[in-house]
Amino acid sequence: MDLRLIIGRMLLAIGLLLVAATKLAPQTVRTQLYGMNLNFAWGVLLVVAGTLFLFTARRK
Amino acid sequence: MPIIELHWIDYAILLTYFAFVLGIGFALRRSMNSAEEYLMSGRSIPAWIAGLAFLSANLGAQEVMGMAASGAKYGIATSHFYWAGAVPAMVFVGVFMMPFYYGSRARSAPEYLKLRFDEKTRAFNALTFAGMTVMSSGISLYAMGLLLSSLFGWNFDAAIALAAMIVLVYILLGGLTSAIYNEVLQFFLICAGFLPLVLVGLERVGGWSQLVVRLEEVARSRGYVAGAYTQAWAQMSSPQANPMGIEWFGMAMGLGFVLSFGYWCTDFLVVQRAMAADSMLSARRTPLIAAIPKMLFPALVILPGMIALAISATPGELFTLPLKADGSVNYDMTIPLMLQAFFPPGMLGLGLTALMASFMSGMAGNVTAFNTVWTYDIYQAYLKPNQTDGHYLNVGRLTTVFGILASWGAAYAAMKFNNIMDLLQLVFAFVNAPLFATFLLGMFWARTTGHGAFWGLLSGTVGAAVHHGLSLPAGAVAGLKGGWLGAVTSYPSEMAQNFWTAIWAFAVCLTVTVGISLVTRAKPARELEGLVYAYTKMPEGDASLPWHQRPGTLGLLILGAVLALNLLFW
Repeated sequence: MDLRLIIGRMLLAIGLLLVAATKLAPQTVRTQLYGMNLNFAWGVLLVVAGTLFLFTARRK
Repeated sequence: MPIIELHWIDYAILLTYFAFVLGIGFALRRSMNSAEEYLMSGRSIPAWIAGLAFLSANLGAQEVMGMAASGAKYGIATSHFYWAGAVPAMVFVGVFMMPFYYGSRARSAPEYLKLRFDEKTRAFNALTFAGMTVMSSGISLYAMGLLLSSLFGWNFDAAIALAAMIVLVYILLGGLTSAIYNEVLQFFLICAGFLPLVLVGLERVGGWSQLVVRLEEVARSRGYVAGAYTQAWAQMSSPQANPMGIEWFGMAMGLGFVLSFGYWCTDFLVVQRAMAADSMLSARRTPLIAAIPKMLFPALVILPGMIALAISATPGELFTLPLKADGSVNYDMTIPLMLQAFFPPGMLGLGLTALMASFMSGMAGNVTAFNTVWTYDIYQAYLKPNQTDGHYLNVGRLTTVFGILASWGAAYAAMKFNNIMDLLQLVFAFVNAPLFATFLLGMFWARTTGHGAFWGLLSGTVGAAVHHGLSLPAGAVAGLKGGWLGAVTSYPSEMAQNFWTAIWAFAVCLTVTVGISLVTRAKPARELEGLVYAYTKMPEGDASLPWHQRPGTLGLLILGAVLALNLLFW
């Protein structure tokens, strides 16, 4: 079992949930970071990280 | 502190994580066919996975919550746990000690003591270690239940039952491999959950430079010089010059050498991860790989505490650190306060999941170490030797259930103590500090005997108790915090007292072990092959590896980097 597949899937799933939270969760004063939506920015970062893990796992 | 309402998307993130955690256990259940596979991962784990698990097994409640709390209480001096303590110790265990652990083919640290010394030394270590792991695991569970009930209004009993059940299922199904895989998952989750907390916090205080300015004001207002919270070494000239109340010798010797080397070099909880590696080279590289992220962890777990201190000390800011019933500041609430203040729904779910991951990884690490030591070093050694492998596999599984139940009981027992973290640190000073002297002498001085090791270990533990009984931290009353034999000396803080308790325990163990070894008969050289430096052929083939893969070179690079960090924040 290649652990990178599991790490990649988990980061991807959580990242997508955070991106979804941009629209689905209530907006609060705590939502912004350096002018960006925190859920969206961090969600995209996790999606990218998750995809990289999946990519490296599948290449092997 | 008001209860935080979670949005359904927060629960969705938490459930997603639980699904992956349990999925690993189910995926691995078919490959657990022998006791060695279940309790030792069949020695098949690649170095990078073992390295991250080595790091993550230590990322329990004490690490994540405790280091942030210490960051708020003591400032950047808390980074000594990493830059003066853990990282050099990890280099030492990887380069010098792992050849003996892995090369001796011992299945546990107590079993190494049996091979090197005798049965009584093994039994002493196995029993104290088993007790310590159950207690640590229970405290982790208790702290988690307390946090979730006070922060989110969850039912305390239900919260610890849920976490205990999840840990039980994935260890029961997949054994040590499942615990290790989950620890790696938890490592990434903890980074993903806490890094944005640091970024948002830094933005709030105006960046690092403004944080330093604010903490200099805090230091002056408390009677220290400006750099007391932001300079790691410069204010270590005397105990009165820094909030930790310790001078450079106590810091370097007590924390940097005895406590840190004692923990990272001898505690089977972490050493077990390296011993599960797929080769001697992987086992040696495991702590070295772990040391690289470890040296950056102060930014993840200590910096939030420093940010919280700066915010809390500024009137009209987001929050103030709450007070305990006795009027002292409740530093343990640092991380929960920051989650509440900085994270919106969504990110809050990720932060909560990261916290749950840290609690569960701490608990799982203790339970897997406990079931290996119980099965091999107590059950097989003394209760039922010479049984089939299948028998020990079943015992390992039953021990997992027992370990979880015992941790559950210990969680409720921990409720009776008013300061469990101080108690736990003290237990480390009692157990790990003398044990480090025993391992050090055992591995590097062939003359050390079994009688010397056993009586040294016992005397070191008694020495720690006597020092604790004769000393008291400032402001404390005689009892659990010391002074129960009469307060002959006092320390500015509990931390300083713990460091000196560790120094005394180490010194007494070392002296008694050397003294008794000199008057008792040592094992012949042929029985010490693979167990002692002088009679062990160090792993060959290092020279044929590329320079960046050699443990010695990697160790030197890591030491250079950690030295640079010490100088940067001097």
